[in-house]
Amino acid sequence: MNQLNPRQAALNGAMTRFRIMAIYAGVMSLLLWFVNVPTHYLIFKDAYQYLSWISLLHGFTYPIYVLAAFHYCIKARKSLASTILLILAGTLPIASFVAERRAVKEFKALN
Amino acid sequence: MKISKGFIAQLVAALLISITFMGLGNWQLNRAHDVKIAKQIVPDSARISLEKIAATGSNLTPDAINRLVSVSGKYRETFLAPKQPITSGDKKSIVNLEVRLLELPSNRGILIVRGIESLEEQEIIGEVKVNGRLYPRQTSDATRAINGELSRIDPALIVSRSNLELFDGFIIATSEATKFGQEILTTRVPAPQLKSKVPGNYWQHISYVFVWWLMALLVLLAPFYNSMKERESGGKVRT
Repeated sequence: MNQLNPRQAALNGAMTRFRIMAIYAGVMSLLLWFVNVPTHYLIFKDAYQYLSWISLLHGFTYPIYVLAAFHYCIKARKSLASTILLILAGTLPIASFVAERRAVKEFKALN
Repeated sequence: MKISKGFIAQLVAALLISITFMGLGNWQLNRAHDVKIAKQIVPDSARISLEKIAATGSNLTPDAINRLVSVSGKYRETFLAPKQPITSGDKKSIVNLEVRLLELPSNRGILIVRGIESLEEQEIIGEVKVNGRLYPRQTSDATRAINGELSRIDPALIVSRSNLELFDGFIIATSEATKFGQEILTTRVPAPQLKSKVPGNYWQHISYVFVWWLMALLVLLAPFYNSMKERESGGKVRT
């Protein structure tokens, strides 16, 4: 494993927490948009009673993603606009995966 | 300490957005409360005469809906309401219902759902006392109706063919008796209390309350964001 430089070392904890929560939020968003919502309003409506936990879990854990993203943005000295976009990325499928990849790229470029 | 006009403007904007988010959180809290109330089982009040809680030519009041009622009159016309959904316990099924128009004194009438359609029409002559539960009129069609059928159970569909002044809604009969007290038997359908359809789940709304309130808190921190970054980096920040 590569040695971390001082800036990377200072950001490492917040970065790890953000990455975990970004991947988790991405998976939950995919489940919410492509499993939970269709069964609630469109198809296989009888199955919804077994899948309502998805929106519940997403609702209760999204604040954890928000806090992790906020803390990471402060540590990484991101602009306010980037912080808002990163927080909102947790609500859209795929967007938080993209945000996580970008954060990793920026982390590797730190010197 | 000098405070710039720009900072005050940011603070005011953040405060307004934060108040909006707090309001949205409170709205979700109210919806959670509504869901909880809607899912509570309310014990039935004592049976009451239909005339005491409803009048012809006007909409049913929310208090009248779901009440156990009794009414007396003579059956005039018989209709079929095809493909009506009923729920018995956990079991849902689609049935054809027999609906009759009951004529009350003073030229008034109300639709009575007697039960499941029988092969032969039961002839009921003379005055009948009906006990049942009062429901609001149906608003969506269960099927396409042909002659003598009702696409939904709604007195508006028979207004043009009846000279009676009609009560809003309909009664699902739980028992019928002749004026001599003799019970009239048929295949009844369940007459459960209607549940208010407030969408959602209690805990789901509560989770949104937390999300909105957290957002409100974060928006309040926004004007101090740059100073938080400065403190974090121990000096001037790169944006």
